[in-house]
Amino acid sequence: MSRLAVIRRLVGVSPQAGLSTSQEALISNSLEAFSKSHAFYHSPTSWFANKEFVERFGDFLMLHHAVSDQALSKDKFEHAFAAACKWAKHIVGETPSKTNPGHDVTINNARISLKTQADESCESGSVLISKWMELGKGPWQYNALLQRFSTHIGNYEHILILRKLARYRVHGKMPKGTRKYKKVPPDWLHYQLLEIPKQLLEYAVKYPIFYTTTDSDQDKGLLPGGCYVYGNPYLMAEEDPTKASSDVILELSFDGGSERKLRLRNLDVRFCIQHAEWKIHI
Amino acid sequence: MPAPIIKNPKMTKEEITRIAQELKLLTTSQLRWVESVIGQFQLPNEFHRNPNSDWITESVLNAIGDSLRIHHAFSRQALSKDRFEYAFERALTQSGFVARLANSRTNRGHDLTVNDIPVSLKTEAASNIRADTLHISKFMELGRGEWHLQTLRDLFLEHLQGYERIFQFRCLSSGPVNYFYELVEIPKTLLQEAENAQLEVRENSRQNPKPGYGYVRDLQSGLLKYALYFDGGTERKLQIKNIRKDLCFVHASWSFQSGVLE
Repeated sequence: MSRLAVIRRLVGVSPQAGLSTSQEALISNSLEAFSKSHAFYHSPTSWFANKEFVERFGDFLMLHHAVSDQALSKDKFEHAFAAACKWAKHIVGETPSKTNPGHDVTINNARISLKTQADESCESGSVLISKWMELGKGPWQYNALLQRFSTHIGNYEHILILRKLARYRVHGKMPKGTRKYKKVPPDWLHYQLLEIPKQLLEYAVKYPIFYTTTDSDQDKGLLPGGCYVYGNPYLMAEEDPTKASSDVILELSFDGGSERKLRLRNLDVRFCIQHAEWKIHI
Repeated sequence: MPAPIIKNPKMTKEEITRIAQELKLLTTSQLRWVESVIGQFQLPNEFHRNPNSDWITESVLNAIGDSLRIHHAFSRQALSKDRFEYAFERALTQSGFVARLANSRTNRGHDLTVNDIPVSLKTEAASNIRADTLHISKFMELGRGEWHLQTLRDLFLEHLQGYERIFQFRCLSSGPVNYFYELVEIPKTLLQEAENAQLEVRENSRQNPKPGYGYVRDLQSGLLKYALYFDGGTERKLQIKNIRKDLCFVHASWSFQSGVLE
């Protein structure tokens, strides 16, 4: 529909039914949201995020935040991502069922798993995915659990994570060795879209250092634990990557509570590929 | 002359002109989104309120309805508990009520205060939801204390002291085109009848601790009103099953079509 047709439709020359006061307010809020300052970025080397993609997705974010203070949830992210990819002329496949243990969407025949991170403690330097997958009712052995993770990541080629970053400012003088922040009402929304390289996860499956936590839940028979991954996954095959660095590059934790799930923690964003970023004044 | 989209009589010619001016500034993508949102509001809908409802006024009814239609323009998933709480608070506030969400998300008592009345809000959206009975899959956590049905029942009665009214927001049909929601109030007096519940441990269960039921029946007919289910094992939570809707009060319902924005 042309711009003129939309304007005509909205302001009074349409055969359609009218808008109520609250609906009209909502449209008005949306228009106001679109008029706010914003900055959208995309990586020139991204395999899918081009100008059209970031614009379409960014507009969706502005529209969403015209009616909600909450971060974009996973289901909305999935929808907005597919819509923006279509807008950018990518081939978007059928969405699999919600209970599909693998990918969430296919773009140009590549299977993609979509994740979100938007908790209040979301810091810019570290990725946390609170529920990568459910661990089900099978045996609670760490090697077997890691194998399930390995099988799971075999179901998709790319893992993308949408992060809503919180804004903080330093409050007063900080005592040595502590960090004291006071949250202020953010005047800018900040989202970024990262890809976790699959190579990194395959490396994690290969070089785990298992641990158990002390707060074991004996009556459930499940020992919470996980594995740390050290080293440098990008070294050449003939070198021992685990000796390259003593830094933890990521952690996979097995949560034995009633949910029985696998989390990914402490992944340094420097190991990820940034595809796009949106900053929106609210 | 066809009917205008904006037929709010309070809208002045200047306001219409302003909107038209703002529309001119939009990019093609933005214009398409706006057009999609307008399209949502033109899909068929039927909102009903119980004329005896004290909180669901016409204004609250329409505000919640608009929130639902906008939500489903972005998502096919049923409105979650936290989103419902937010939408309910906003609808009440916009309609002149004094409504405030509880400060803590993990608060064991009420979720919302409306005109100084503490309220507990629940949601139900399971695929096997039944029209004539309500199910609350997690009324409260039962903690790690003594697992004794009478003690657990007393914990439930104590929990009820934290609020005066209990509502359940139910999604009976969740798309992809047709949606149906209703808001039902479970009388607190009905739940307080659990004081005389018939408690039974499921001795045959392999769970540890063993689950149990607390049946609440009509004293004269013997018909079940609802059942407390003390979910043992690793869950340790209280469910309430088979609450008869005819013993509750249906405040409102929202039936509408929605298409996800493209």
